Amino acid sequence: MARIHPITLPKWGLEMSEGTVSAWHVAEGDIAERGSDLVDIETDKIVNTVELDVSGRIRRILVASGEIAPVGALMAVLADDSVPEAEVDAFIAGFTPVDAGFEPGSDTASAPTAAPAGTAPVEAAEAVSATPLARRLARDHGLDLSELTGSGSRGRITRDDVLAAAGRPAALSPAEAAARNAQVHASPIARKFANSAGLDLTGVPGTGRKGRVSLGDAQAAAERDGLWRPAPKAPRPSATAPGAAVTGVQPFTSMRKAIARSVSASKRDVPHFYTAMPIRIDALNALRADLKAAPAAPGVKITVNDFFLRACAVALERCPDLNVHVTEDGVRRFDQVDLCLAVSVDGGLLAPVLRDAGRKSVTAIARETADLVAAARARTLAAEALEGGTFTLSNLGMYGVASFDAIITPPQGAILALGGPQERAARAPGGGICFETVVMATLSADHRAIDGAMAAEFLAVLRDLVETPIALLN
Amino acid sequence: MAVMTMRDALNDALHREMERDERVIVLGEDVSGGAGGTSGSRDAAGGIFGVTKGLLPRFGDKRVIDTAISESCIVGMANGAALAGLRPVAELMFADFVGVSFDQIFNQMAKFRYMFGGKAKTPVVLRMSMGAGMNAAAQHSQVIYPMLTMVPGLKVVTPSNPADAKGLLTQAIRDDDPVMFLEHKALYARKGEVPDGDHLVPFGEAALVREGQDATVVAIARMVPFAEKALDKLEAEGITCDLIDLRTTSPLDEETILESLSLTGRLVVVDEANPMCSMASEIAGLAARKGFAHLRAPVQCVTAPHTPVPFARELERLYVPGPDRIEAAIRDVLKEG
Amino acid sequence: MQQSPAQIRHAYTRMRLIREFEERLHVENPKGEIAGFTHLYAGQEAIAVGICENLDERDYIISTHRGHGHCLARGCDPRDMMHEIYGRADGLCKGRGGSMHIADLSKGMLGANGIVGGGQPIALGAAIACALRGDGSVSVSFTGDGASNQGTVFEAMNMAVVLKAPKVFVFEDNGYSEHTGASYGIGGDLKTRTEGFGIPVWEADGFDYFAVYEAARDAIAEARAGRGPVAVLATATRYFGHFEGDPQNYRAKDEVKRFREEKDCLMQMRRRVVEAGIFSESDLDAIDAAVIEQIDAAVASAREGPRPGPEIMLQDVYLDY
Repeated sequence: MARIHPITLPKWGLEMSEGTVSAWHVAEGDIAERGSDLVDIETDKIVNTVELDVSGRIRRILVASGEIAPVGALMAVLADDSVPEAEVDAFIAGFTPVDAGFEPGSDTASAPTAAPAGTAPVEAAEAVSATPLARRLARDHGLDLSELTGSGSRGRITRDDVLAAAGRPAALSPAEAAARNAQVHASPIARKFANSAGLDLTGVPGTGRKGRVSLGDAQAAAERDGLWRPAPKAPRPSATAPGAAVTGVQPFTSMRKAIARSVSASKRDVPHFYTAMPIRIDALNALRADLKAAPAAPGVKITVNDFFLRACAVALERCPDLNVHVTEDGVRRFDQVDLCLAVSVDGGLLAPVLRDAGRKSVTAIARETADLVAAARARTLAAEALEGGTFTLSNLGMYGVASFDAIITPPQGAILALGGPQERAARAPGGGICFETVVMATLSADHRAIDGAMAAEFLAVLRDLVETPIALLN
Repeated sequence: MAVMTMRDALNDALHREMERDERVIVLGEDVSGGAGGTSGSRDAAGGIFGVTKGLLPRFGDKRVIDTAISESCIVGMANGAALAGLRPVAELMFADFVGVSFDQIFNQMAKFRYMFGGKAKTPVVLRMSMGAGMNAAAQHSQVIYPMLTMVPGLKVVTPSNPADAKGLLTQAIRDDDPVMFLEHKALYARKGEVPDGDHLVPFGEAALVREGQDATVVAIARMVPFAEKALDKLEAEGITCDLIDLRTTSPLDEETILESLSLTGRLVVVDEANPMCSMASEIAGLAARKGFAHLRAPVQCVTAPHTPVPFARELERLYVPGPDRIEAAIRDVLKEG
Repeated sequence: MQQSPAQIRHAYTRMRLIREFEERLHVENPKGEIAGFTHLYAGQEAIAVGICENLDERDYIISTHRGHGHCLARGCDPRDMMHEIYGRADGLCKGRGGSMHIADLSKGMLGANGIVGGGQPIALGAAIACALRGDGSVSVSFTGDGASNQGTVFEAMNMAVVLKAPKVFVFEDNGYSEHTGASYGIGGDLKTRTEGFGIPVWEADGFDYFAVYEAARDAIAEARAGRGPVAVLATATRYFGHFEGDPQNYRAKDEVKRFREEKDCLMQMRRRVVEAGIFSESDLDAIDAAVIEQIDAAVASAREGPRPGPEIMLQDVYLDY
């Protein structure tokens, strides 16, 4: 036994939060043996006796008979005679009882709101009107809701709007469809429908006899693929139309089609996994302010993004397992970091490449990035500026996005998604509370080549670089 | 008047009603306990929370029936006994076990009278312990009264103090309709003055626990003493509120709520249930439907979050709406207009 | 004893681990740090371990409110479990479940269950999955004598026979259904009931690890071979109350003492293993000491474990919402 042994008011069963000390079987100064009866405790349900689980001298009794104390309260102290009185007193003074009470928390600031859990991730895009399902699908497909047009009432973005933007199988020509569908086990009317709608019946599950594809099956598949819509029911006569009218259909541009094909294939075929790391940028902001004020200021504005590009390049040199292409025959590694930067342009997205970014200073990166972004937006990029990247950085921080998950651009092995700066309260190094500014970096990685620990290591290196940014100036 | 716990007040009501009417029977798991045990005691438990203690020695095992752990069967037996002329008081140890026996509750007892052309009477009282606060985790802590309140044919009772507990249980046993009687497990030890002798509290009459001028606070079961704590604090600053204890969620005393709202213009509803389809949302809806002209500020609902009840102390303390959150909601509702 | 010394060591260690885990919780629980319900399994170790030693990683088990023993027998981490029981953020279920809801799906452990009788149909569902995979795996439900009276158990037995599912019904008769004796609550007897559905029953003394192991081995072999559901019926007793704090007024004062002195599963196993010359007393003492050290460490780290915050409460209600 420890030199000093506390006897606390016990918890007997679910309901007990306090008890009345009804009778002590020992007195201060007694020697009590292990297993002997010590004290009777009463609740409004039961009376029970506490047995001693050690032997020793009763040095103090702290709760008198008839008194009520909470579960965990110090009722008595046992210690052998070698322990001085002062030590017993010090033990009692320093004793912290367990809080086994049933009262709810008093911290209103941390109390949860009544809102359903899980609303947090969509708050960033709250300004856009969209159904919850549409928001989820948009996230899955890596689509920015603000770029979509809603067909729902008052322009609300629906599931179908998102699926349309995500790019679904294009319609076949009737002849092509007829050729493909000839061998499919389908009813004549279903085949006729599929051919006219340009639907490939291969793989469409049939619910008819012996798995035959019925007209209903074909229509369901066509509707799912956006090739056909059931005729709307005749609207009830009404003074005002019940929602927004369709004002026109904008066909996909070729860039949109390419993006749709690429992200769909990636999301379908690449086993994505996601790892997020909060990175403090207070030091980085301070450094940027210093640079701006410095007499020998660089002739170019260096953004937070430029520092992240530089940090990514350095981190990738240190973690070459993430600077890869994943192909059918294996993982291709590279001797330099060709870093892509996702740039939002009118009607889509381009990702020009910063060649050999690991060997470029942050000033050089800033300059080159500015040129690449300008060229991308002006559509004057050379074709080779869009080829052969080994890793991509995508940053939506400027839109106030907290964090997001990006879709990998195959054959690249990973992509990093940066949210915007968020202030959060933190414990100050010297005690007390301070604010810190954090950017959430979310890495999407291809699990065929990259494991969780590798992703985590990369993020940790990246964090260390950004949080001690002076090294990035070298 | 005697001061006693809610546990003893309920026990007193059961003793009195079993004495008064020999058609009253009690059944459930361990309502006496000890049958088949080696100690020879036949009142070894008296209910998991001690509410049915002493009934078996007094009234015998024909009227105080221990059952196996078979909740569907317990409720079904009560239904059949009621159709055959008895007045059963059945017990589910935890309200969560309504999940096991819900068919007998909402397809059977709730519908007999209506389906059978008004010919059936099902005077069942189904007692159950409910509520968070004791870290009994997700399957033993729920307040499920909103689910029961939405079923036509059931009456739903949620006492907040010993006197009401006695009066409402007496009324429940004498009532000819099926009554869901929900006892908050954190209130069993709550003490208060209880009238001696026969004491009845009618269904559908909310209690105006406090009168005030600035806002109307509606609360249920354990939320009532919490609201009182919040009001104690606000009254020191000169803010006074009507505090309404619903006592029964079905029938719902709309009149008392709307009358108070017409005087104060501000409404806070405190409900331990999850927020969606809760009594809080129901009463907020009532205010919107029938009290809109009186509302001077948006209705504030203080509820648990939309999550199951978590186990850890720290989490459960966040989960349960407490006096501080009630106080904050009252302050919020006073900010506008 | 046809098991190898390594197997016996493994089984003994697991049983000792359960015993020390539960004995320690019995000591820690009244101190008030552990919240809520705690139902202890001590006394029944031979059943959980005797069954689970016959399982491999493809198989499933589902447990009860008295679940610590099943979890440990199935290989759940005692440290992570202890953290869960103390309600810590890094517990096996992030402090959201506690003693009564420990689950580790990565180990085919489909959860301790707070609803008596709730687990059997769920385990049958897992058995259907086993059958569909066709890999000879099985699904085991643990059912107490009390739970055996729930309709869900009868429904699961019936459907298991109808579907010829590889389902192993383990009935653990510990003599008490909460505060009521099994002899009061059960009409007829468990064996005849189960056989009435056409399910073959292997009976075993639940205090005898080897008896349970062998019964389970033969029963599970039938189920693995696709010959339909089987049942193992084992009788033992729980050393503690229905829950911690239960005054146990329904029980004779010396009842548990007698079982501990005359029938205890660990005592019996020690005796037989030492008599057969497989291990010496000191070999087993060394195992015991290591287990106690492991439990000490688990309790110490659980007491200091991180407290969960609001974010843990709000997560995981849905995958996506």
